[in-house]
Amino acid sequence: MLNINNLTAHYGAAQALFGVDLQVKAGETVALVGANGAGKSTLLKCVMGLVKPSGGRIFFDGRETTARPPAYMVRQGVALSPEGREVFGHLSVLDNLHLGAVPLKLARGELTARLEEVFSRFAKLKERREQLAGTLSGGEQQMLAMGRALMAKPRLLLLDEPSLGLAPLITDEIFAIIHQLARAGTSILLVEQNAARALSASDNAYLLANGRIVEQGASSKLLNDPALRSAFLGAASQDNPAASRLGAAGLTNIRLEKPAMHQQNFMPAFASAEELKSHQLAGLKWTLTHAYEGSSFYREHLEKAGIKPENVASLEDLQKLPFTTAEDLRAGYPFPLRAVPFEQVVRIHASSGTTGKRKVLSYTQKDLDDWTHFFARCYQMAGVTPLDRVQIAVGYGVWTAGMGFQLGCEKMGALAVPVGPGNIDMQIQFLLDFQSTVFCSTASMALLMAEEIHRRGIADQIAVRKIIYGSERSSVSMRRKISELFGGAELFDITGLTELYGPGTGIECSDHDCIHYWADYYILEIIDPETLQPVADGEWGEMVVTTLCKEGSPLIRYRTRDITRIIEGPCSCGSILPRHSRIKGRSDDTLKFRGVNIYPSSIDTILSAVPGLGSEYQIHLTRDQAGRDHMRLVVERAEGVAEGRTPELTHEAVHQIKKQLMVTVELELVHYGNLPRSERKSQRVFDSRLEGDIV
Amino acid sequence: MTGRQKLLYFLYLHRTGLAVTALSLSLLVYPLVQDNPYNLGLSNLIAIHVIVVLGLNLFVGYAGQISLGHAAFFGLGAYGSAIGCVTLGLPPWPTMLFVALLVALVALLIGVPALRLSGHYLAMATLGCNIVVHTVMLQWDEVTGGPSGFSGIPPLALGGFAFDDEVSFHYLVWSFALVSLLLCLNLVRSGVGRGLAALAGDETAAEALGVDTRRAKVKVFVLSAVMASLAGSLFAHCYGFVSPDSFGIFTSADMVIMVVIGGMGSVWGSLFGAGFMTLLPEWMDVFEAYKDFVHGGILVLVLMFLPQGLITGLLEQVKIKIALRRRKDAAA
Amino acid sequence: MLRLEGVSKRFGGLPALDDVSFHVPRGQVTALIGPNGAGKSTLINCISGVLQPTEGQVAFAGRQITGKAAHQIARFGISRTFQNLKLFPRLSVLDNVLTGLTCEGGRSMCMAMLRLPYLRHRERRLRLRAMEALDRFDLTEKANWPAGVLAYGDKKRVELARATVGNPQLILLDEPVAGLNAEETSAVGEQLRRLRLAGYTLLLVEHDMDLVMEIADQVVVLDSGRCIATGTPDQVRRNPLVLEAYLGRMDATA
Repeated sequence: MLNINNLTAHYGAAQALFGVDLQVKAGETVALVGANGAGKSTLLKCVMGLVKPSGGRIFFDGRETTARPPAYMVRQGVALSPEGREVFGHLSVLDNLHLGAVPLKLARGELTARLEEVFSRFAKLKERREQLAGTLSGGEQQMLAMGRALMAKPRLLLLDEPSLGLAPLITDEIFAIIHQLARAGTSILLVEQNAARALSASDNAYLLANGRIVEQGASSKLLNDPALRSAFLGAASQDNPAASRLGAAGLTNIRLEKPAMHQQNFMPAFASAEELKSHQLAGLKWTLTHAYEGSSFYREHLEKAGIKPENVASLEDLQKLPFTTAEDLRAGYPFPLRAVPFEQVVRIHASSGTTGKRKVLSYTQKDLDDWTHFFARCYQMAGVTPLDRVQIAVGYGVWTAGMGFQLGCEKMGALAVPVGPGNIDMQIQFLLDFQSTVFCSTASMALLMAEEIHRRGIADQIAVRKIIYGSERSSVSMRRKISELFGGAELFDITGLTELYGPGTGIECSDHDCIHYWADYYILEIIDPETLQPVADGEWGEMVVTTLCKEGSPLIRYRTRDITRIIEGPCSCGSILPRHSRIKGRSDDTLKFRGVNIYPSSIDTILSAVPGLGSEYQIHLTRDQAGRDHMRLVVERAEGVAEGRTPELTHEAVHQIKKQLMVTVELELVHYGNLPRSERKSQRVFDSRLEGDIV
Repeated sequence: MTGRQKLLYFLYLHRTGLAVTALSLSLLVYPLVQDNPYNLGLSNLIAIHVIVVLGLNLFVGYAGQISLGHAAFFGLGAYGSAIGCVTLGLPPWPTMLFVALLVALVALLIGVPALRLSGHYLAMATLGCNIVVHTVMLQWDEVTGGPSGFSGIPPLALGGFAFDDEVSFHYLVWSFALVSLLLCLNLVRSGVGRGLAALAGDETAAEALGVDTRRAKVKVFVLSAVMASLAGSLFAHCYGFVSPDSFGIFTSADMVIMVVIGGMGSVWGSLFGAGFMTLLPEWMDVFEAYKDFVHGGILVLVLMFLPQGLITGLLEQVKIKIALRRRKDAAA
Repeated sequence: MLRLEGVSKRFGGLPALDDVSFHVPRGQVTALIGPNGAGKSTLINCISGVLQPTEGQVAFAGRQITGKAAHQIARFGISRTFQNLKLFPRLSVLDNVLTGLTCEGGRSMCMAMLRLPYLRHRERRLRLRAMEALDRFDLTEKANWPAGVLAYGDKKRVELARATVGNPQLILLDEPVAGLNAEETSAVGEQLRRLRLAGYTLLLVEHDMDLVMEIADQVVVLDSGRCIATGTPDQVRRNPLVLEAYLGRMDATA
């Protein structure tokens, strides 16, 4: 009935069809299946005369109809129900149907008869015959489009994507009608993207790809060809080919939540700020007495400042106390600040300090219990449950990190996978094999892992939902990147320092971007590192801590050097524990550059806010012969960002730094992945300016 | 970045500014190489048309509306200046501004109701306005001078310097045109400009992107009317004489044709459109009697084959060709 | 985040929506499903201000938005995509995405015409943001193509990029995968999942049940303009009313 020989078609310069041969025999339903842009619709349009073919011939009933106008084709008995319905929205249903028969110039009686026939097939259209077509639903519009085509009583009906955008139930209805039409003897050329559907509704089928027929034959055979199934039919299963869209409705891989097991609560008991304050005051008084009586260092230290423990009567008196510093700790090596006899000390930990003597801290059993308790609280805050598997990729040994994560995890009841730092291959293998749901590491390590996961393309095979990381600053873009590459894990920044038990003294809540700290274990003050005076709430400054129940090595106004600020007001997560910002930097790592004090983190923040820059950067400081300082930033472009965008990115980054920090920098952009990554804290600042004069 | 990269980026970043600068420089020296007053007069007329067409292009090409009545605003500007300076004896510069303000008000009053309409209705409404204005100019003898026109309009002057010959007027009118050009280029490169382009593409989508379509349309309409009015004032001061003939509906149609030829939504195209249509009668004086036929024919031809206008249409064809080829390459 | 109370819409007497009430929680994906003609698109149009509901209230982030114009609603931070793509074919892909930042580009026409330095810097920033959005959807190489020549799947992605580039608080997606093949569908699904993880709130109208079941936190089922069920995908899947109305004849076709 329809014969297409070696048909080619172009849209402007682009060729859409490359020599297509196709046949539709009388009474047959032929499906034309293929992906978007394969040329299916173009083929139909060529047949209908809507697109002029650039080569090849089309015969209908043995007569050549190549490039005949559409009206002629309709008179010959070909009708098209176009893709996307294309009904006339401002005309009524009835008018739309009338238009289907315009080229035929029918007598009134015949017209009415055909209308009735269409209405008998599409009962819904009859109900809505006066309604404007634009107000019909998608399914009804499809019916109208088909009805309009049927008004011409075609011998060959061209259907372009009849199921596009329809609900499965409506698609069923449409296909039922297609079956009826086929049974009634109409030849149908059916273009469909839903391959399974089209194949099960047709006798013969052609598979079209990139404008060429790649496969043809009986539909039932194609439907069962395993190679084709995998190529074209997607998820349809062996015995239920029509189910590719619907079938999995009962089998989707939504993670089944196991029933909640008994869960301990590690949150503090106090209910109001007043209760907390009285708890803190009692703790402060105890600590002062304890330190004064137990530690010769503190006794001297306090006496030098003219303070006796009984002088402290309120929390405000805290400000009269002298500061303790890292130097005090180093000076007291090997057991500084120790306030209990050795028989009560059950463990020591030391800082991973790189310079000079290590800071060593003593722990009593109660200290360890307290630490474990509030570390479990961290896990609880992050939403970790006893059902989780926690892969711990931080350092074990004399430093605190591994022990803290380990004990807290066990206390909480989750499964701990103590891998330790580094060893990426093993980490990945465990993530895959054990299906760990929580990953704990430094931020650099998390980034390294994230990139490896991305490189291996296994994001969908791992089960990590949460990443708890700490011990170094992390930029917004770095966090975003880690989360994305891990397949969308939630990130929790955990704070802590060896001097104050270890990690776990506070953690980000599930509403993110603020750290809740455990005010029932220590008092946190923010001071100006220059004047040493307290700053107003909300201002950035150095964090100073005073413990409330630490026995082994109590801390009194210990200067942590960490820069943060208090966030006022209650948190949207509902926790009443007070909050501070994520750590912005350390007061001793500010850069002095041409008389301006710069925290590396402010550069970090600025770079993070430039869309298209990556998370890795280095700051190089040099001094030229004339004695002028130069700051050169080496920044990675984000992954997949072409080199061509370098000038624009450079312009923006330099402009923002100039605007916000008031310094001019040189900026070099390098390709993604060109800067070194490490498992430990990454070195970002390289200061090669000479310290002091050379004689 | 290497020096070459920096240079390329500089050129890319300031491409618009550099192009305008180049154009300004060439116009600066133009009177030195061309001292024929007739040719200079022509180029001055082009400049006046450029100002109108730029405004109209924002409205027609960018915001996707249609106006067949811009000659009315052009005329109001011209007659406003004429009446203000001669009949009322006001100084020319303030009159020009005051008239522009008045025209803005008129445009606002017409625009608010008329821009609820679209397509043919809007075309009809603006056409109607033009006819009304034209009729008033013809009939209200005692003020406008009727069909015989209004003469004796003094030239503009700055300090003691009068813009009374072609060369001085060249600098004056092209300064106006270049400033308009720059302002329009700035506008279309901004968020507001993209909002207008969105409006031309699809009103519902533009609304969904946060464009207040009704206000935007009215604003652009008023802006284009003000530009037409300023051009009108310049026109009056340039020729010293105005008559209703210059501001009929055929002038409106010609302006739309200039927009269409230059290209819908192409600011640079407006320069070309204004130039082409102003010079056309010079090249084809044989056809003087059939001028309207020729213009109509050009309009039909352009709309049939390059509905986006001559320049934009051609450029777009090229762009699409390139993109399609790359798409094919990518597929291969 | 978004709360609908008793929203009804009639077209010339015919009810398209009848007393629909539900709540879209912040940071979650709510899917709106239902057979064709159930009123899903009408509902989206009522929320985004293209249509005004005949009765009922729509509140967004604690603010009444019933009766507000579409552009005002867009400025509150609700962006949307359209069922039948509404891209601007003549503009380049990049410009199309930039139109999604219209609200942030400044509204004053005078300022735009003067193009003061602050505006230039802002423009550059917006461009970078748009480029980043294109990166996300893997369209960078086509940034300068006219949007009209893109393939259908690419156009869908440009629309998604345009809807997300302004960091809206709520994105209404009208059939984001209609007409896409299985591969493209899963790619869009992946993008939607990422959006959800990035904290966006999505209201999704979709027929592809696999997609809905996979990414939705909450499913609202409409039938003949009425809300017949609300719940997690699991609950909805087991709801007999829903099975009857929507998935009813699944067994028959299987």
